[in-house]
Amino acid sequence: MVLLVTSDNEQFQTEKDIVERSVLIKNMLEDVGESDQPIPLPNVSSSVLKKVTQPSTGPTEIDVRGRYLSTASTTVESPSRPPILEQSQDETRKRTTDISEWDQKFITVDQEMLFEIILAANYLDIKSLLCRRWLQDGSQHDQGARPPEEIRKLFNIVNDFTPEEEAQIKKENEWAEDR
Amino acid sequence: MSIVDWDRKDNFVDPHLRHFLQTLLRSHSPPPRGLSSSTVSVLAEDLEKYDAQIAQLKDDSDDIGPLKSRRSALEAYYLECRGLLAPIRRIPSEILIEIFRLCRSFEPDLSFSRAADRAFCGMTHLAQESLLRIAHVCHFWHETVMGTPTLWSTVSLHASALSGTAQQCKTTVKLLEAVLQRSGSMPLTVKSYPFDGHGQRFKPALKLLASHCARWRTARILNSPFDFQYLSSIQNNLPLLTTLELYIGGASLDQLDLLAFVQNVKNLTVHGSIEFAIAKLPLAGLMAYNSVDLRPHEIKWTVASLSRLSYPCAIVISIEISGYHPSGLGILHTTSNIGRLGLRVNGFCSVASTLQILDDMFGVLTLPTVHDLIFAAQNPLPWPHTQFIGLSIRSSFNTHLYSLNLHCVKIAQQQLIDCLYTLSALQRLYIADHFPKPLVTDSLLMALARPPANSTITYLVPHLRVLGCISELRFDDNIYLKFLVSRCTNADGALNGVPFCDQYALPIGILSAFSRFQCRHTDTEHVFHECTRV
Repeated sequence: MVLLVTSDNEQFQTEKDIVERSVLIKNMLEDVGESDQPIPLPNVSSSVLKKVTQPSTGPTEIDVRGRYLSTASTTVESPSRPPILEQSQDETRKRTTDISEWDQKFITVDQEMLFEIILAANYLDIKSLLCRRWLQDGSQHDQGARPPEEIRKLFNIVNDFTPEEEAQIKKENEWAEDR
Repeated sequence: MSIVDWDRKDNFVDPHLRHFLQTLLRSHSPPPRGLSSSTVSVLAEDLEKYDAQIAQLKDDSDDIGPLKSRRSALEAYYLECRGLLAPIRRIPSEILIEIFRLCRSFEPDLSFSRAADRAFCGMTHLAQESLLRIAHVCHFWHETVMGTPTLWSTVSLHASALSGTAQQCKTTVKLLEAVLQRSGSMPLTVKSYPFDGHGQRFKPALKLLASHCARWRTARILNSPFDFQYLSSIQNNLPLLTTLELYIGGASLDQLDLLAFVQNVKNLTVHGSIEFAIAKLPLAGLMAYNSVDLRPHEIKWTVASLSRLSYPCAIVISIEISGYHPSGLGILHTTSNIGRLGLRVNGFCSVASTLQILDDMFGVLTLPTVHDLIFAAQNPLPWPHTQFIGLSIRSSFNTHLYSLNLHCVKIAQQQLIDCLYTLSALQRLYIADHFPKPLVTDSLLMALARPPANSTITYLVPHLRVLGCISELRFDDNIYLKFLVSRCTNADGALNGVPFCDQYALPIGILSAFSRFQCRHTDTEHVFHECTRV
């Protein structure tokens, strides 16, 4: 277990495997070694840390490394293998792009919390949280981005293109007519 | 700006204020002081009032037109104010770009059967449709996406994009041009894959890619060697290229002329036989060398090339053995000073044939400096025990082989122990259980445990620091604990630090088949924690 201390001085005892999703914390743990000392997280509040560290609430399995594997997801992250035999980066990335049901629920938080989570994910270096999930369309097979209108709605973004820019955008999309 | 008075009732029709708001929105500047969430709430309430009022009027009422028009002006004003306060606007640009970067497509979706649909998916992939969708959200995001060349510096031309109609092929080239333009002057990762025949349809796209060769840093060109003619403009103009992947199977000597221009490459992957390329490959300066998609009769050329590699180079040889019938591989004796060797065997043929391939390879190699050996296979790989022991003795593995990884290798326990006796320098050992007899058992763990100080038993792999296992956990926890404790203490019984016991994660399909082991695993974890306390 690892003891984390948030910006509002709350302490969290958290599974090492969960906190090690954060590259920042993983590196800190590697630097200090086994220690009972709490790890301060001055840029993360307790409410955000709760969100960031909560494991999948769906049915889970624990793999042989003790990691949580969400069974709601269709794929899991690649097994640990020697780098020399690792598949190409692209393949690995592709395997980790699927969005589990839990992830879908996870992203339905209020705007302010979403903003805080993104900043925390950036600070803690948790790519899987920082990433595309906010922008991706889980209903699509290839997990492409949501349509612009949907993204605007989700983030309260105003369509502020001028008519000239709208024309430019139409031009940028012309290729899509060759289906 | 003095005109801003958020409390003024008719603010939303004030063109100056609207222009001011729109400028703020487009410039991604912070919201003006005084604009708060309570302002937005009041506006939302006003909107509801308008709605209630409109609902009370009849459709033919004279008042309804002006009322609807005022409501729509108010709504636009409300959306602009709400947009200015949206938390997403506070995310720094560098984080936004990082999120956008992660949205890029890495592989096209090729689940469609119609050629035109598959071509469209290839085009979508090339165009980075996800990035385009993001760019079409608002002015600031458009400027950010289009104005960040790194987002466009991977140019991925999937062969499917050139497999559709003539019009689609033309559009693909236009898309390629647009992506290259957006990448500015950034070093490029270019991909033209997978191997899908050859022909004129690749010509314009490959020529266009080649015209930007001075920016190539990584290139994955899996076209037929016949198409290399379209890359003629790369001659002596690849100053940045350090990583190259080429399909050269069946290439003739003159088609491989371009290899003369890739001498700065540090990481090289070649698909297919290197028979005609061997003299032209930039082997001496390589840091990583993968020779893949090899048929057994082509191994001899790759093995011959090993003698030209230097110590820092890590090599992976990947062999396709399906349908192989033994006929003698003709591999010559080779000594190589490489540091790392990985052998990967794909496909399936009889045990005897597979063993013959491995015997032929191991029997002629001498690796006097190798420190890391990895064996992996798609199907359980028979173990060429006698030849490996010969290789080990011939190459003096006892002095310099620090890491051995037997992934999906069907080695008998006694064979493994015999091998370990010859590998006294070994520090890291990775093994996996295999059907029907598990490898990681009580007797293996007992053999790996450090014997008591006064014991006359030979100390197996005395420097072992890492034991990685894929295990069915068919061993006694107490024996595992004894093994760990023995490795934690030195000859005098003093604590020596805990050996790092790593375990591979299993693919989930296999894991669910092994679900009965999960409980035992937890026990083992517990034992491990107990041990660390000891």
